[in-house]
Amino acid sequence: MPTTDLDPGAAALGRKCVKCESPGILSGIDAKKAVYCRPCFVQMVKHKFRSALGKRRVYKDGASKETLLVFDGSPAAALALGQLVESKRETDHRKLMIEPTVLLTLETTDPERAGRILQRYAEIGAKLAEPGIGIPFRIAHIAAGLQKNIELRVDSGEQYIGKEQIAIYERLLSAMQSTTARSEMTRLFGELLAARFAAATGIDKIWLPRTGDDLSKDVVSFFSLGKGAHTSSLISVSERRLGVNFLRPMHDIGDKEVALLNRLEGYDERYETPDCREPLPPASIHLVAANFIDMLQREGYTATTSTLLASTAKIVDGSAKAQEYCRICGSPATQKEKNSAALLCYPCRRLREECSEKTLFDQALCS
Amino acid sequence: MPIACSTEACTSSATIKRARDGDPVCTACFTRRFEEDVHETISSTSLFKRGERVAIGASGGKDSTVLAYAMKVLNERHDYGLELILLSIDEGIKGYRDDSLKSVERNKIEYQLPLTILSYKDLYGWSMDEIVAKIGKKNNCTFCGVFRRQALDRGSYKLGCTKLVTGHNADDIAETVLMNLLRGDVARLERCTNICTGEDGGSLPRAKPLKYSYEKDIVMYARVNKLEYFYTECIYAPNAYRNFARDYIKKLERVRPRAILDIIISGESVAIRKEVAMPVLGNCSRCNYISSQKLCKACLLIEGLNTDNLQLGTKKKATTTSAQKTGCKSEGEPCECRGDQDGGTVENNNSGNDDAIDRCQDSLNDLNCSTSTRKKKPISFEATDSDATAQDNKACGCDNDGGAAKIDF
Repeated sequence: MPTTDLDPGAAALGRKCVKCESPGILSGIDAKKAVYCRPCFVQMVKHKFRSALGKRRVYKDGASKETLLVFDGSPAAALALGQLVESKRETDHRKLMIEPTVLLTLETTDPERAGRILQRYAEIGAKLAEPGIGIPFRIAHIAAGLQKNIELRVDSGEQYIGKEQIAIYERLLSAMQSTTARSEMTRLFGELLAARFAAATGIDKIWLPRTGDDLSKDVVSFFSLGKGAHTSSLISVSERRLGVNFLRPMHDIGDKEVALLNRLEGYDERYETPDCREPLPPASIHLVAANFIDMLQREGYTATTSTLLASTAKIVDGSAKAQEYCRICGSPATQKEKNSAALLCYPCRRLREECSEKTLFDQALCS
Repeated sequence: MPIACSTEACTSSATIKRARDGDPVCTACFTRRFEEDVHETISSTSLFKRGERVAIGASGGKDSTVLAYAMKVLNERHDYGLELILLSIDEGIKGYRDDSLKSVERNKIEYQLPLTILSYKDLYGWSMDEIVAKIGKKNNCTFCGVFRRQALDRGSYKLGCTKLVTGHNADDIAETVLMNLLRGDVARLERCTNICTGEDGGSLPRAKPLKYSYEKDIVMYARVNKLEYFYTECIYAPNAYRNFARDYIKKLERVRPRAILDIIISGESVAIRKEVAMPVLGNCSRCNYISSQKLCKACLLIEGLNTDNLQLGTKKKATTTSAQKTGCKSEGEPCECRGDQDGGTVENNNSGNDDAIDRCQDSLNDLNCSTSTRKKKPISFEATDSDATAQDNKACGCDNDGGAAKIDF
């Protein structure tokens, strides 16, 4: 497909690239703001990616360069992986100086689907193992997040970490009384897996594949779950929690920009893994929130994402400074939320209330 | 097989499911628990002091009707010692407000509470019908919300009230939290979940006793107690931005009813980072109402209506090229705007010609250039009623930026 056909809305404006004199044929969410030619667009998105980390000096001042990329097969994950691979090849002074490890994650418990995904992961793994790239990688099911100390060795014949925990994981999800609670548990397991895997491998920094659009939807769903004040840190570019630094380098990049860049650079063919992530369940807050944001964008409120992220960046927890942290998610928890099992933040306590097997919940997550 | 009422020691069959917690209850327990919830909200926050004169913002709709009834019942049952007065605002919307005011009149008789009605026409010289005829069906809620807020405060001061209560319910507050987040209005986000605003002495305190009551429960309470209310939506509301948030809240409630309270809890936990610049409140130089700008929003909007500058108060910048060319001189010097040079005549903007509006860049806040095309003299926010002399020149706690079908807070 010719580049001019990738973004008909931008091409139709007939304007020049904002950075050079070439025809502007590509844009972000709002073509009226800026249009770019192909090379300038690619440079713009990559610059946003790198400056998100550079501005916050995440890798400066002697900080460790070891980084774990959580790869879930999404377009955002493909872009991040593409950037890591590119950084290994770059020879100029702007090389992204990172020592990456990739954690390819599985959410599905359907063996057939898991098989297809693993096959795709094997192809990706082969590319990562090529001479000149040499990026180490592991594959894990998010059920492995149940392991307090993740066992990195895998029994022969097994392709991924966490297969033994899938039964408990499924039982825990079935015990949740609403699809929202199940969806939220899945999200928490993903975080726990990343944090515990990073701890097991001695890595301090984790890249999460969340775009600006994903994060704006998270803002709405987090507020709807009662996370309120903690939302600011949960969607920020850099956040310290569960003993690691969660980084979101695509904080300022939208889904459209990701899709276009992946197409232009070939990341979609090389790394995107269709059907890898579980779709959002129909009757969940997460889907309602996602649809709400998408609807506002379609209605012409194109500044929704940037405004939400900017608003959230300005807020902090107004309650008394927390001395302790939630046993499950690591967010600050105030004393009054203490329960008999463990100290939990308000949203995690609500999750526990929705679980019909509280003993299992406590054993799996609170002990 | 009938379901038993979930209230302890009640042996009746359940006929209603409470929206707030999903409990099945009989009719009597529904009413009793609803009233107990409101009483709990009032008592746990020490919302009122004995002997206070409290104005109840009454529109004739379900929320204010239930609020008035519940306040009367609880005032008597728990001996709050309050003097309650109904205060209604006539925005001048034919087919909507004229009908709902009849409902308020019935409330006055049934609840035996005194009623005062103020109208936009008397206060501002414009009814909402006239405003909409002039500006079209856009930004209507901005005008109405700003005017109503000030009108309620003026009415309350005039009646010698020390507090105003409004019927904002949990759904409204959740919508407002979401709207403030979406619009990036962190100043409002911080205070919009407060049970009582304006208590810092800068304005008339206004409270929301129905803060944790679900809209569905309010409707059911009105039905069960046979309260008459007016239930038609404002004819100018369909295009309001708030409808997006309202639609989201309704979908959310279907999926997870508890989420409405969780949004409120989220809003309550929020504070603003110290380094974020917040508006500094002062007083309007024209009417003395509280404002973060030189002129309050109401005065700006009225000036825009009177001078045919319909973007005044609704857009952030003057949009004229000549406005960018001319610059307002510093204070005390003549302004280069045409309004000043030709003796004060401001040309009509309706032609759309940029040169027709020669306002300086600061025209949103400084109307020294505008002149004789005003229909009414400037509104003075000073109590004219001798009973309210204690409230003279009292600054109010509003920064006058409307935008909602309901009053902004």
